[in-house]
Amino acid sequence: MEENKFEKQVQQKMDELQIQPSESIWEKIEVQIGKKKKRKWGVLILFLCIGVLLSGTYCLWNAGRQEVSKNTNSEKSILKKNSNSSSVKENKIVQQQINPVPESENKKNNDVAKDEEKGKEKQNRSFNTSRPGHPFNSVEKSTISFSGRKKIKEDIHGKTETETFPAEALQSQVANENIIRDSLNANEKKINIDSVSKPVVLDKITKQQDTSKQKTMAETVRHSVKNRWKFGVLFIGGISGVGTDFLALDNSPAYSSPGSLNLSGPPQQSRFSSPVMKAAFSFVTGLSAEKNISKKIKFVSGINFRSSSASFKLYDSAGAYYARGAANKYINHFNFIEVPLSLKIQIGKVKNLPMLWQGGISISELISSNALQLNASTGYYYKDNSLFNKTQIGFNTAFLLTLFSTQKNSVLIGPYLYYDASKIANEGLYYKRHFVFTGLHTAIILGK
Amino acid sequence: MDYKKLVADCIKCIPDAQRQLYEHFAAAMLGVCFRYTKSIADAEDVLQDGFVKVFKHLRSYKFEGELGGWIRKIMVNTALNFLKTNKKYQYDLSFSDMPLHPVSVNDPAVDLQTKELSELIRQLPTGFQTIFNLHAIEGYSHVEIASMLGISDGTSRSQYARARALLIDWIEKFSLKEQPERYGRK
Repeated sequence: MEENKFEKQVQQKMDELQIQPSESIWEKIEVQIGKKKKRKWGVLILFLCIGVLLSGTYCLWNAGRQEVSKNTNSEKSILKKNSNSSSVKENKIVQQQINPVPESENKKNNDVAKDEEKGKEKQNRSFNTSRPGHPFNSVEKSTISFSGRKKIKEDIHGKTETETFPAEALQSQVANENIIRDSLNANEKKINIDSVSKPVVLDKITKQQDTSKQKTMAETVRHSVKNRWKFGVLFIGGISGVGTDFLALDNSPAYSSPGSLNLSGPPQQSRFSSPVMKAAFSFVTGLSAEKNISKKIKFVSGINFRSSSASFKLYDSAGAYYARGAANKYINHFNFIEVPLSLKIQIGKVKNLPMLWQGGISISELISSNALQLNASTGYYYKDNSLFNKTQIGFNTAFLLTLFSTQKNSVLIGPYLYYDASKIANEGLYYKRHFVFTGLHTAIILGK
Repeated sequence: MDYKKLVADCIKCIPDAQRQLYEHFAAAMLGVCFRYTKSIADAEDVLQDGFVKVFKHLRSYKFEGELGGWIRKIMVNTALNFLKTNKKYQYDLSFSDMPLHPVSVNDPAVDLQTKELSELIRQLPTGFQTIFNLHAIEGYSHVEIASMLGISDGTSRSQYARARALLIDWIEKFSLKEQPERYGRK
C-alpha cells in the first residue's frame, strides 16, 4: 500500500508534466509523413510508367505490322494488275504470232470490239474527272508505276507522246485509272475470248505465276506474324520459405542462446536465439513478353513485382518488437522488381492442350522490406534494410498447360518453382539464407 | 474533441487533422519522452519518431482504449528503442543479473513541483530511470518490463527497488534544502 502511495504521487505529478516542443519538430514530422506518401506514389508511378511503356510498345509494334501488311497487300494488288495488263499485252503479241486468223477477219472483230470499247469509254469518261478526253488503253496501263517520276504514253491523234508527271499528281490519277483499267481489262478479255482461243493457256501460266507470288508473300507475312512479340499478364501465388539449404528446409537459428548447438549460422552466441522462420504467402505479378525462336521454343521476358515473405513469432507491443514472450506472428515482406529471362519449350505433340516447360533466370532488385533484425543481446527487433543484398539472381521453372490455345487469348496454368541463388543477407538474421518459392503459375497470353 | 473524426481524417492524410492531433498531444508526449532521456534534444527526437509511427499505425487503433494512452504507449516504446539503439545510452542500459542488496522501503510525501521531480528522475542512471518510469509511472509489471528490456523479472525488481530508494533519498534531501528557503519566503 505504502509503495503504491509513493508511486501514485509520482504518477500524478508526472502526468501533469507538459513541455511545448519547438516548431521545427512538426515540420520534420510533416516531411517524414510526406516522404512515405511520395515513396508509395513513386512505386505506383513506376508501375504505371512500365505498363504504359509496354502497352505503347505493343501498340506501335502492332501498328507497324499492320502498315507492313497493308503495303504488302497494295503491292500484291498492283502486281496483280500489272501482270493482268502485261498478260493482255503479251496476249496481243502472241495473238499476232500464233493466231492464224486472217487480218481482215481480225480487223472486223477488232472494229466491233473498238465500237464496243468506244461505248464503254464514254461511260468511263464520267469517272475520269482529272483528265477528261484522254482514254487509256492496255499499253498505258503497263507503264503506270509508283516511282518518283512516271511516264505515261498517250495516243493523241494517232501520235505517241511521252509526258512526265510528278508522283503526287499521279497518285490521284492512278486511283481513277485503276477503275478504268478494271473495266478495260474486262473489255479486253472479252475481245481476247472472242477473237483468240489459244492465249488462254498463257493466261493460265501468268495466273499460276501470280498465285505462286501470292503464296510466297502470304508465307512471309505468316512467318512475320509467328515471329512477333506476344504480350501477357501473369500472377503466381504460393508460399515462400527461407533457409540455408537448397529447398530452404534448414531453418536453424542465425543466433543461438548459450549452450545450444548452432552449425549453420555465424559463430555467435547470444542471450536470445533467432526465431524459427516459417513459410508465408508470396506472389508474383507482372507483364510478360514472348517471342518464337523456333517452332517449339519461345523466349520469354517481362517485368514482375515479386513479394516474398517469411514469418516468425515475437512479442508485439504497439509497434515495438521483442524476442521474449513471443506470441504474435510477424510477416516479413521482401518486395522485388524482377526481370525474368526464360525459355519456353513445348513438350509432346498434343495440339488441344499443349504442355510447356519454362525455365530460366530472374534478376531482381529489392525495392522495399519490412523485415526485422534481432539484437541478440537485448532481444529487441529492429529494421535495417542496409544488411540485405539488394540485387538477387534466381532460377525459375514451371510446367504449364495451355488452355484455349486455339482462341485469341490463351491461358497458361501450372506449378512454378523459384530458387533464389543469391543470399538474402551476408549478416544478421538472414545470414546466408535464401528464398524458395513454390506456387501456381497463371498467365493470360494476349493475341493468337 | 471528436477523436473518431480526427483519427478518420488523419487516416485520410488530411494535413489539418494531422496537425491538430499533433498539437493536442505533443506537449504531454514530450513530457513522457523527456522522462526517458537525458536531454530535451533527445526527447524531441523520440517525439518526432513517435509521431511518425503514430500516423503510420493509426489504422490499427480500434478505439478500444483512450487515444492518448495508445499514443503514449507508442512514445514509450519509441523511447525504449531510442535508448537501445543510441550509443550514448546503450552502456547504461546493460543490466547486471547480479541481485542488488535490499534497500529500506520508506515512503515520503512527494512535496516537489512536477518539473523538479522529473529532473530528479532524469538524474537517475539510465537503467534505473527506465525501469522506474516503466513501473512507477506507466504501470507495467516487472514481468512485462523484463520482456520489453530482455532481462529477467528479478533483475527488473531489484533495479527498481534501488532506483526507488535512490530517488526517495534525493527527494528527501531536496525537500530539506528547499524548506528553509520556503519558510524564509513566508
